[in-house]
Amino acid sequence: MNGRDVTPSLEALHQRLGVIAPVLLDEVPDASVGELLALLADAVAARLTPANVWLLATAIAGGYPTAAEVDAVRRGLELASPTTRSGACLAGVAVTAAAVRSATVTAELVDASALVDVDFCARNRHNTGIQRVVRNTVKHWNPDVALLASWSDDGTGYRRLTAAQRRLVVDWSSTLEVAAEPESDVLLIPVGITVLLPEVPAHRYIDRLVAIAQHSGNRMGLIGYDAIPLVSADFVSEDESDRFAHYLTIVKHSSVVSGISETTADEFRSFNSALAAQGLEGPRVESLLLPTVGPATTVPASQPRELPLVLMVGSVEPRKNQLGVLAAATSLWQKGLTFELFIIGSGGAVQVEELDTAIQSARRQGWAVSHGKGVPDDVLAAAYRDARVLVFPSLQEGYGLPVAEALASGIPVITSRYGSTAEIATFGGCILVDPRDDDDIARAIEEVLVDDALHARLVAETSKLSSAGWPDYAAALWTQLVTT
Amino acid sequence: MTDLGTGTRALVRALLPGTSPAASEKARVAQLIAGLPRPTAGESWLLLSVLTRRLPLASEVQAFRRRAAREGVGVAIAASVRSRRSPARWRDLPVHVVTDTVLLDVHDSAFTRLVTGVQRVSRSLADSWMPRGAVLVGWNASRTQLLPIRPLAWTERSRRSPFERRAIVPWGGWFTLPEVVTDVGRTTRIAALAEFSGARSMLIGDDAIPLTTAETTGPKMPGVFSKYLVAASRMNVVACISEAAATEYSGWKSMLASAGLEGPEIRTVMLAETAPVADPAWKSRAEEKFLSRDADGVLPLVLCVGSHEPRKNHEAVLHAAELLWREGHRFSLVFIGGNAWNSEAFRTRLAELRDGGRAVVALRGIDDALLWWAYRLAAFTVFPSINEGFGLPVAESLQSGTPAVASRFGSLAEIAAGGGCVLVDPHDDHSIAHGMRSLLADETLLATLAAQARARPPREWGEYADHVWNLLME
Repeated sequence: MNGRDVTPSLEALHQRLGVIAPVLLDEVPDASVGELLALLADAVAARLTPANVWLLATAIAGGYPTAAEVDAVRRGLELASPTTRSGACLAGVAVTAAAVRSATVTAELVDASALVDVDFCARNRHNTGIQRVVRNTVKHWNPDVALLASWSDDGTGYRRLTAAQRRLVVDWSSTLEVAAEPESDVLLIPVGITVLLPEVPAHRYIDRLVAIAQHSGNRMGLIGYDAIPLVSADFVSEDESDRFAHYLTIVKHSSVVSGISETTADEFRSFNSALAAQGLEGPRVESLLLPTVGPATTVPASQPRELPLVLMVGSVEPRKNQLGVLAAATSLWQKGLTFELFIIGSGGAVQVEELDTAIQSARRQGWAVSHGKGVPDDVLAAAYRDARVLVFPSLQEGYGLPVAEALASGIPVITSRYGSTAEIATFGGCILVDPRDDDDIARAIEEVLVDDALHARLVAETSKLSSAGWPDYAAALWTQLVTT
Repeated sequence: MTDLGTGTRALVRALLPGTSPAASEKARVAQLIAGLPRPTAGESWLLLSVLTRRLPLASEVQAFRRRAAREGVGVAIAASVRSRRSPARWRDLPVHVVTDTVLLDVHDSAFTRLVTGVQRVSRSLADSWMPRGAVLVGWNASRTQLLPIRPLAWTERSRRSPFERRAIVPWGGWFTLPEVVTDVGRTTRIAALAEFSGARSMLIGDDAIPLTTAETTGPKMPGVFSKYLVAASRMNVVACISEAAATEYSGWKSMLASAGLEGPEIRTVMLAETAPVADPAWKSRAEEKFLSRDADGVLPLVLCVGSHEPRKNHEAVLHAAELLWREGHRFSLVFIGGNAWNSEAFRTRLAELRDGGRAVVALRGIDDALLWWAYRLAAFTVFPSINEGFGLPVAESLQSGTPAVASRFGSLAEIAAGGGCVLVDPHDDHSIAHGMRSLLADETLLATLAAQARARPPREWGEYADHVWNLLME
């Protein structure tokens, strides 16, 4: 300790202040921690911009402040006398400072074009929907300009990924096993760059993210997936809707959102138009349709199945409409049609129980229907190989990955006549239905089962799909969110 | 009100017009089975409402129709009747089918003594619509049945047995919801009623703040509000209380396209703006309560009305005031309004300023009679809210002849267009301070704005209720 009487936490504070000093001071003197803090407080008081306040508050606390703390520090600095400025800053960020668990957090300024929040993918093996988009996208970005980050365990600031976290994000496979490693003790401080949120952040990060979007002077860019928790609130928990509404408080202060479909982009544009009532404009909204890519695993050809296979893929929940498909299939079986219905998807206990009870009762009638939960990739791939048609009459989607997967596998699709699934359907290979009308779904299934010419035409249409893949999507997204 | 009676008799009358109900229960069920081989969603909803004596959820309507398609309507009806055998259901009242009736759901307003903006709307509609034959309704304890509220219980604000001893279900007619419902059991049944009953349904749209400004709402509110919006999405029309509220609801409505939903028509019926009557008997008490003095005499009073929730931006008002006091301006600052969630920082800051000798105080539990005087005694009011559906305190201030400093967008800007206001950016403390300073320092401006405020014509509550009625009847 060079004989000086300083605690590790003061040393860490000194380091953090030293890291931001070149941004705020014209000349960085060799000063003690108290002197440096006073100099920085004076500098920010003299140029009291939100970005300066956010930066100083971040360095003092060792974590990102909330918007209320940015306000408190700004007001405190404005009213403080030169001798009380340091104290005003410390008092303003006391809550965040107390939330930082490590006393030895140091800081580094992010030296990249974008800081990319991949927290969920770095901490979880789960790989559906959003995670597939995130993992397939960020792996194609140059690590020199796109710094991947996760939140510290205490939720106060971004850290570089551990080696294990990095593998979970960019080298994911269904069999990958990684051991947890201790997190970095270095807070990442973005200054004048882009912070990217390709995931929908967990609730506990939202207050700090709002302050970054609103006050830090960094641009914030997001991938917009859907507004299902709001538009189809009858199908999600109150907590899910609650989190989404708070997520929108980040959105309204962000710079740009890229919707995964035009439908999703329109949802965010609609939200922007509502913001006029509070004098805000909201972010620039772009759209970039996800690529039409088949399942990762493929399996060799085999004997044709005994019965034509009608396939349904998707999590088991009312929004995906499994019971509507089952009701449609039942009416066809009652008419004497023969085919097999295979429903693939996991879900909550209540929903799965309800579906399986209905399936049991259909099987007692001698009808060929089954439900696969947590099926391995090769079973899914075999189902896509063998299916006569995919049925996907979802009530709302931001995109509709199974539709794209089926089309990329050369399988015709019956899907909803509006929204993102209708967008994908414009490329061909689809029959569009009203998902709220069981009879309409039944009519479409019957057509594609009995009309071989129609089926052949739909299969032929699937071959004309764009061959653009994830690297193209990743490049175009980078342009929209970072360089435009 | 046309009452078709209860049970299968009412169902035959409602669903098989031209058929007279048979003499026996069994024969009437046979009539229904023969007449409704594939019941529509609406018919299924009414069958369930009457047979199970509970207003069904949309998912129950769907399950009923699927069962009817699969196993026949007779099986589905028999299962619905069986569901009432549980002892827990014996107390459910028989359900009367009513047609051609205006129902006004004022459940919460019937049970509260609060008089917030929402209650004022409910009361004005109820008081003005009852003489036209509208039926006020509330909900049973399990929120499964609609019960008429006895008119006398409503007018006397009696909370003891306010309901009639019968349940009703509308078949056609009109249904209006003037309250923001946070009880999810109730909103989900209202959603199904709006979708299936055939009634022309209307909801009063106050604002969509829990959705657009979630950072300022209490815990859990956005989640509950989302379920309320599901009910809104099934209505025919949302009558918004300002253009700003309509802007929010229109944005929300256009999101519904992604779920293939059309959503309600969004219209605006601007809330009333009435002059609060200041009773001379209360004047001296009000002066004693609200006015402060310094060595030079009575300080100009700056008034800020509203609960101390973050959306009202009271911490910014305190900061702006302190900047002005430091500049040497003479005034006292009085807040009137209850505590709300997250008001600790405001109270702490206010206590610090008081300790520093500033003339600032926060009062709550103030009688309306005193509040009306506070508006009149004030030099001007301050209301830099982040987002408002209407902003009643600004309207009340102006109708009292007192200028207001208000946010420069949304409903406050709409109100301000009629004169008497200084507009500021509520996100900028200096802009708020600038607006207040201009009224403290410029007597001519203050007098001009006060004259503008006094010249504003009032808009009465009866007029508001008439407009909403006409919209419902379109």
